[in-house]
Amino acid sequence: MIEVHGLTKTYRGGVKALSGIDLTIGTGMFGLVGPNGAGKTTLMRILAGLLRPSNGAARVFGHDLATAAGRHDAKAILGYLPQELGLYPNLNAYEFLDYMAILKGIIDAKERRRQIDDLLGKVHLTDAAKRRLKTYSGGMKRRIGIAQALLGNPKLLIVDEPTSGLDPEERVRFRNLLSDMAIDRTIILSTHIVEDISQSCNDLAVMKAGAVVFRGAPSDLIRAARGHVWMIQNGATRPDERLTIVSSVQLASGVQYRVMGDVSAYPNAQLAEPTLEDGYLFLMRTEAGTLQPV
Amino acid sequence: MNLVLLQIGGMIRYEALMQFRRRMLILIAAFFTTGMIILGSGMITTPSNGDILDVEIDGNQITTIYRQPNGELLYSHHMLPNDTEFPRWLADADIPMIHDTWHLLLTYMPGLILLAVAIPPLLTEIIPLDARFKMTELIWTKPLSKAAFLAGKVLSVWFGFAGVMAVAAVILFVFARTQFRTLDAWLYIRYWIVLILPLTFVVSGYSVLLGGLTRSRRASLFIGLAVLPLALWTFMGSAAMTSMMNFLYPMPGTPAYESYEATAAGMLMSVLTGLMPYVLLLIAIWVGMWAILRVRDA
Repeated sequence: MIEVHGLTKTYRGGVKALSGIDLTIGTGMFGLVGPNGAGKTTLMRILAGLLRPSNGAARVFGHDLATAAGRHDAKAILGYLPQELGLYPNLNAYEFLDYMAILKGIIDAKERRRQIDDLLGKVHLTDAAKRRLKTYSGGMKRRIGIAQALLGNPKLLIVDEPTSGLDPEERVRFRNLLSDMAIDRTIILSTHIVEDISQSCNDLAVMKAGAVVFRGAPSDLIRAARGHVWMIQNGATRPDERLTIVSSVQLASGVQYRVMGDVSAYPNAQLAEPTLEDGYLFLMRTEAGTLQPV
Repeated sequence: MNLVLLQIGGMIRYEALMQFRRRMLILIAAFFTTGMIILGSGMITTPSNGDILDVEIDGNQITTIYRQPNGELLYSHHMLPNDTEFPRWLADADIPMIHDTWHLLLTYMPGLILLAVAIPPLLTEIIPLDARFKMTELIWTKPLSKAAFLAGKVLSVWFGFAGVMAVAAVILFVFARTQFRTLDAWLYIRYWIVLILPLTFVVSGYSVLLGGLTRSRRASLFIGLAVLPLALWTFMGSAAMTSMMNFLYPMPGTPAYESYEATAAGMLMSVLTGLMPYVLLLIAIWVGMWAILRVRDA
């Protein structure tokens, strides 16, 4: 269980990254979405013990992150995959994972070996285990990053943009891997890829300008957009600027637009069933962020 | 405690492995070892007066007898200052062996200093490399204390540095053994343990800790250049050249020992004593760096 109360973070120079966040996150997959600069990474870095909040309190499975001992204990049960991960180019995958497992505190060498073999299999890198990491592709590096985050069977897993750089097949495989692991632990998944959230999370928060503007199930966010998403076909001209274009498809008869907004000027507009991406865009469109779960 | 030792041990193992795989340390060591052998061979194989046969003592006068390359004997007279007590044991000692060993140690010193001067800029990058490889964030999400982190980094560099110096010392000794009739290998080993090991530790500490002040690899190289004079100062201050001179040419004010062994022990002790101020300086830098990490964390 993660509990966050009145969490505020102001960087030097007065930039406010978080402004009084309250969140309680239970077991399972928790999605965190929001535009760049919304404060997602700051929140995750605080929960990972990398940053201290300016105000407020955060507890990770009962460990108070305000104390050094609390942060140490929280880190012992944490798996973390940062957005930017470089790895040590002169180690091979096995050596790198062993090094990370040692730092993580897996004392028994046999247990380390067992976990590494198991994780290399899960991320499909067993055959490349003895190759230096500098020879790995971007996707392979990402998979090694995922494997190191899973070392030690962490109770809390924080993953920042985990599927960026992965091909579609790997992305699906990784999403399934996370979903399988979410049964008895908390996984916080931050991503710009809304589809990843819709496919794997049963709970999510949308952040904007350092605040949580939505908290609920993906279906609630979808429901909020219902009645606001339309399909219009508009020949060669682009729709009215007041409409938000979600997507456009070139057809033989013209261009079909998926839009949000007032479509009274388009009598042929057809109501569409919203997706999670529509819900997210609809929420972002309401500047004040006053939308509440239905 | 087990966890901390395991973490430090893991850092030593893998950081040292990465250093060796980067090869720069080995290339520099190979370059300077070769240079030491070439320079040293000139000093060792062409002694100015020839081989020492014996030393005679008469009052304050020491007469060293050499066999010159042309076979003729040369008598070299050396007057001791009045306030200097002559080590009587020297009259019965194995003079050629002492002379050769002394020459070996004196030949090793310039090469050692050159090597020590060259290496610190390669050691200051150890902590900034974590930032370059984007590993810093990942490392600090592990249950790793700042003290264990610094200890792991310094010790891993020390192991690599000392390893390189050990290989260089063995190569040099093997080479010297082909040039001399007799050598005191045990004194050579002890001198290496007492001088080189602590000195490489102190220099590793300066380099790693001061290099950790920056996250940029380029800036760390500049810090490495700034560490060079500090390393030189440490080496020069603790190399105890005067105590080595005590073997053959007692200096005014230096103690006269009862035997060869006592003289060797005195020389080694003087090295250790000479090192103490630099160890204290290292401890001060260490505590400062630990405090900086704490402040950064806050």
